[in-house]
Amino acid sequence: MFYLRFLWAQFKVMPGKFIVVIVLPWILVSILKMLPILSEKIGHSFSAKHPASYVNLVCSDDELAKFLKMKVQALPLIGKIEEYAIANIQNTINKTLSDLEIDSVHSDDLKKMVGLKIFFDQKVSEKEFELIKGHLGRLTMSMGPQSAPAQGAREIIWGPFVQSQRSQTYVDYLDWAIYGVVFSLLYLVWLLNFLSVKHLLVRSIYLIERYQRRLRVYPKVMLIFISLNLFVGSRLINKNIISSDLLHMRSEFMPILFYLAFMFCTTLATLELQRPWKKA
Amino acid sequence: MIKDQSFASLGAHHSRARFFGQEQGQLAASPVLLELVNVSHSYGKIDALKGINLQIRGSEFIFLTGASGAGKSTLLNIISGELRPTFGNIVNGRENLFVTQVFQDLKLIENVSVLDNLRMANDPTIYRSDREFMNVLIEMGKVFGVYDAFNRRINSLNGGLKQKVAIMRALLPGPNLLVADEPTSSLDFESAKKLFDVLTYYNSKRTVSIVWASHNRELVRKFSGKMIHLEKGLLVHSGHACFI
Repeated sequence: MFYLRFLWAQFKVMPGKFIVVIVLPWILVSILKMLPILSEKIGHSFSAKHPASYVNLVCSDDELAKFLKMKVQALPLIGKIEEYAIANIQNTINKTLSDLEIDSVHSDDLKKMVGLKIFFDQKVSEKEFELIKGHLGRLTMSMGPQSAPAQGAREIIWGPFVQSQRSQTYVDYLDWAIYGVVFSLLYLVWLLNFLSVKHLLVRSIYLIERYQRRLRVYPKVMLIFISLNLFVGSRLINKNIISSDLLHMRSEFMPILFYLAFMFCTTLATLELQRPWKKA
Repeated sequence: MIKDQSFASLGAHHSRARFFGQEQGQLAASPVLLELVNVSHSYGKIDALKGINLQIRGSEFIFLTGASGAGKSTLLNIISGELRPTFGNIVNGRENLFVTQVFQDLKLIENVSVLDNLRMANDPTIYRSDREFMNVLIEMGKVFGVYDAFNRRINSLNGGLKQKVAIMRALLPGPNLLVADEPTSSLDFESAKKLFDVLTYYNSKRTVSIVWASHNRELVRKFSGKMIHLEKGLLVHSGHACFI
């Protein structure tokens, strides 16, 4: 009770700054949650400039495409696999076939075709690509004629293998880099606000320890302060002021991680600053 | 280095002590609160204190004198536990010894009221309720002449009032030992004398030991009790004021 009253007394001294310090991290975390969208956009433009190794292939039907996608995902060296959106199948396949100078495909067959774009996780040599290609060919054969569509046999049309020095993991690194930069900037903003509150708290705690028979006031106040922060955050979530996804680890864990990093770094920083004030 | 001479001087000056409300033999009977044994402290290559031996007893009023840079503040900070000496030992004479300090820079929170500053000293081991604390606070506020300024912010007070608030804050938690670093530097002689009388009252009636560092020669001249004089980090005089 004493510590709550103490914090309330400190809050009354500079209420605005306290509110900013308590609420800002949650708002910042909400902003962080929007970063994947930004990251994806930047990632796409980055990929457009520096493409990864990939290959396009066109499957004769959706069933084959799904089967191959499942099998290919289990292979080593494979990054992500993009399946062309249903709405874009016609245009994409037309473009691919046009690139391959194939004009003799029947329009009904064309509508059934599904395009796959397979990205390679690492640099893949021509030989390795041929092995993958052969494996997929055998898999296509293994599906058997009994399940084949009536119009014709199942087949794959391969596009050219595009080789690049850059691996797909660069995109992931980019995600982290963007998170890192944004986190650093937001952390700095928060820290600047926190420092003035901290200054008041440290001074008052020091005086409490000097003029009352109490020990280890600082860690206790910090613990209550962080608990209060989490409580206020959860209230904000309940009132839908900030995203409720924050509570679920199934959403990106990075905002949570960075929030904890906020608290941890700041606690460490303030402990370090408090050290000279400690009694001998 | 001169050893603590309080016992040697006591017998010869008991009449003066009685005049100031201290019974003969009272000092000798008081237990040792704190003992500094061969304490030295240096800031880098500069020696601030050299081989200090000192005993502080219960209900003792000690005046600490010395020129600027003699090591007074360092000694006070070591006594209060603010500084750890680079050499020597500090022996606590009693369990849970509680020392408060009136800092030279006062360390008051400027943008809050006098009352909020004084509430920092609301020690629950001394005061069972806020009401009890407030009663003592109001009484003390009237004695110190601060009562009317309770709701004023510290930054609106003059230097003398600030010093009184700092002294009140140090007295409120009922310390065993109060260490004051030039607490009357902003006060005229009359005000300083009044404050000194109040502290003497607390010293004798509330058995608070006090170590008071001061430059105020007139005040020191009026003083009767134990006196310590420092010069360049050395304790050169220690004993009863009249004896010195």
